Amino acid sequence: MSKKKLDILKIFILLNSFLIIFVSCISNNIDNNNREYGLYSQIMCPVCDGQTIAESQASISNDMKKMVNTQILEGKTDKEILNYFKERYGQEIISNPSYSGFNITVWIAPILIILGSLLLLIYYLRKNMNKAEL
Amino acid sequence: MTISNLGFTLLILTMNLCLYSLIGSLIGVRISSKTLLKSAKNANYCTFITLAFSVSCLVYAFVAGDFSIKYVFNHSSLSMDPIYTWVALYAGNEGSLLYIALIISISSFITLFFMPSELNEAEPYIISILSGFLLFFVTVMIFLANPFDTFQNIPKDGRGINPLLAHPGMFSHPPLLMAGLATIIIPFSLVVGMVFTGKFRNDGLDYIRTTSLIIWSILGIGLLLGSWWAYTILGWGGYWVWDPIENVGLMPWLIMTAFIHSIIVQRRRGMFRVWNVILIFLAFVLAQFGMFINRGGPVVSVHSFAASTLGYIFLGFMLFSAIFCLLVFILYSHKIKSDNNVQSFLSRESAFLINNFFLVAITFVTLWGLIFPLISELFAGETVTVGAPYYNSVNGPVILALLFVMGIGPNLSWRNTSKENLISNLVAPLALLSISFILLISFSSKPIISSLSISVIVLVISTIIIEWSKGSYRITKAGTPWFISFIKLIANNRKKYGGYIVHISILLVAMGVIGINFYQIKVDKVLSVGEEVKVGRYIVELIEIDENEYNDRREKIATFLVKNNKNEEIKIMNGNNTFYPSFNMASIRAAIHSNPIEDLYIIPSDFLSNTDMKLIISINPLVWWMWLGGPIFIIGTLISLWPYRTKKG
Amino acid sequence: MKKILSIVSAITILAFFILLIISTINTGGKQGRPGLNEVSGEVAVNYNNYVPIRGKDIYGKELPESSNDNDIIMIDFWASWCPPCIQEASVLSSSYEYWQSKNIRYIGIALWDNETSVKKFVEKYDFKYDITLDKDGKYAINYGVKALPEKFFINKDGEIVKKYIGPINRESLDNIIAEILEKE
Repeated sequence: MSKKKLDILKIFILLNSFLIIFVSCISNNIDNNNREYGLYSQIMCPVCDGQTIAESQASISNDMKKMVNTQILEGKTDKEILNYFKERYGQEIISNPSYSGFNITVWIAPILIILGSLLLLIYYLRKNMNKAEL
Repeated sequence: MTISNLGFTLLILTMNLCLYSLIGSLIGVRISSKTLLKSAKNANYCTFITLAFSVSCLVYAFVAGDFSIKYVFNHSSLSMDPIYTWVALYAGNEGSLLYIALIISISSFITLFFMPSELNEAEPYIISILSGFLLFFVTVMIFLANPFDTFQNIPKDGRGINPLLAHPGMFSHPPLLMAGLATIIIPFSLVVGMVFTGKFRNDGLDYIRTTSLIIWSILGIGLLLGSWWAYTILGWGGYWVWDPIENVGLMPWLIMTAFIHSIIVQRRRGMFRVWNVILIFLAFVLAQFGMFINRGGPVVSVHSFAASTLGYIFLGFMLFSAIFCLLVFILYSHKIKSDNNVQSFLSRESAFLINNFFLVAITFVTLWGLIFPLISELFAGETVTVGAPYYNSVNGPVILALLFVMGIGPNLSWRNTSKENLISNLVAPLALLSISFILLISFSSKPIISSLSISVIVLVISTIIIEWSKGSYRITKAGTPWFISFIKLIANNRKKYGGYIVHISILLVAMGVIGINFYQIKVDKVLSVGEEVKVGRYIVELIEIDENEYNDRREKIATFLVKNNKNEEIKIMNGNNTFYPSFNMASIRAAIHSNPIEDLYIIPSDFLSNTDMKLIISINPLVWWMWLGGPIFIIGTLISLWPYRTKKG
Repeated sequence: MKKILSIVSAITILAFFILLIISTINTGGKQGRPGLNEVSGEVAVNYNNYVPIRGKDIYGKELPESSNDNDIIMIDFWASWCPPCIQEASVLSSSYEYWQSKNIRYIGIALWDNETSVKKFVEKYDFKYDITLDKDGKYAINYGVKALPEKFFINKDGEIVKKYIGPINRESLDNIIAEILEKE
């Protein structure tokens, strides 16, 4: 093995050990991204602009968090809980537009446009590349 | 003459200087009068002096507590620490306009002063654009938002500064962000000037690169400081919420990032000329969009500090900038054709192109999320919120793809890369990517995207380290020790290696983002004094709750003892919840114990009684690295900007 | 190809600006969501989520089991620390004296407040109707309350027929109740 290759191998091993330390540091945290937090971060605080109740410490947010907890204990599904809030405060209380009706465009439009323009870009490049070869 | 009259007079003087400089330089170039051009330039220099004095008037009014001035009354009080005058200066709408005007004139001064001779022909246009831009802000201040507006009856004391702003974190984040957004005019005016003279060629391109890099890094640091402030001060437990005001700062930065990359291609290969013009136009219009959203845009935001009713004016100005850009583009784009085409997909050029594509895509996704509530309101009649989950799930994969290109790109050569070369360069990083990916998905129960993101970061870091060690290895052959040859390597090609260092800082930020998004632990807990709770590797004990009354605020302080798994004491920390009755505003300060592996973050959410409180405790892995990214970002930019000593003869 | 591209981008830019202009006109050049800046006055009720108010009032007395369920009820969400609530307090207490005789029931629900200050407030303004404290904001959330004060008017069939946000004056209050009475 040449010296150069040997050096690269050394770097390789070094990086690998770095990676293993890195992974072992974070992966021994137990997983408890609990259900409440998932729900909290989907409900906006109605009085503080631009914050979800997970972030906001306003009185109404704290009450809403309690309400979410109660409804979880009552055995309601996530959808039922979110609907409860949506019926009372309107769609804007949910931190994301729904996946149905007109609102679905918020998700679909950017994906379609990005993919479409990527294809267009590749097509354009190919065309010009052929020109360069001629 | 009162101080308010003096300040206002200076503003009027500035307006006239701007007008003279704008018209003078345009006429001067028409009748090719060198003296007129010279005096127009000097008039632009003078705006710096008049504005500096005008700002001093306001500062003096603050320090002297002259509450006859409405702005001073609204943003300070007798009990305010004079140190916060600096913050109060830009805390409100009028003052921040004055601050922006000052920044524009300072940056114009510096730009014109150091202007290289290659740009002499374009200079009159550059001066007129800079003066015109400044003219807009000064006119708005004079007619609509006068910072020196006075009361008939002089109040005894002011209302005081917004308590959320009265914090050291506010010393740097808003001024840097505003300065970064406002000074995009500099590279914009340089490019427009060069386009006007039909010479958007390599002469002067270095100057554009230098100014863009400086502005780009100011904006970047401003954004990062904002996150840091939100994380450490606001007690959200978050650092970035994709709020409209944050987004309008991010978008020009992303476009500028694309610009500083693609301008390299123009310098090296004479390509992407039209594209570069589009990018800088886009960045400029987006910066004006940011001004508009900040000062009266139809969005809801947590940041309503500078909100005003000037929405129409700033919308109008944004519209004007867009029409100006379109006209320039339509009239002059035929003069700026590129010399070359992309020859291969496996070339540095195409990597830059794809990098640009993804950056613009992220900008688009962000803009779309920002304006979607308006679209929905208009077409479906329904008010919706587009929150963080949209941005994370749509932008996340694009950002990941961008990071991947960041790893692959530097391994490609200009024009065309031979397959053998590519394989030998990329085999080790790609192997690392696969190994780490397999390791991660087998050991962690997290979503696949988290494992994939970490693997991509490993790939990028490994390509950079391999590149560095190969380069240094070449120099060590001459007998220099390893470390010195590494320094030599960086010093010999500062632009390239400074860029790599900036890449590393971006990776560090990405690491923090991944840590907090995918590996965070969060618990809600009600604790009484003396009780403890175990979170992750830590045991948190509530020692005591204190309550203090001050004349302007009510402060509740909780003291925690943090222990490790073996019950050994690590640290005693404080978290507080302060209520300001006169502002009806609460500010929560979290207790944070930070180390490279993870942050222990305790939010004193609710004080239930004298002995009980509700806590939100989270463990945020790797966030420490995100803040380390800031200084490394600055170091990288500085290395990249450091001028070469010009050799004589 | 190039032509299509420029037409598409021209239309996009145009649409973007038209959208911004319309939305800015809707918010009046201020920050805020279109249509949401006016938060005071009568607003449409789009969801009927009436639940009877049960439990104890601030003096520990059981609230009437809505004895005559076919009363017209006005539910007022308020707090002793909220300035608009102070502003309208005398309107409420004086109007109640008049409407009480016509079988209109008022219920005041204090939110995010403590018992002592609520009692002090009630005594100061001489509220004669039932006042209760909504400890965890259960009722407030059920009624979709955002800001204080907010009032809900319930007809004899147990439907929410009107919602009023912000401080109310005597005239609007009387008009609303009269209108509901008329419809019965």
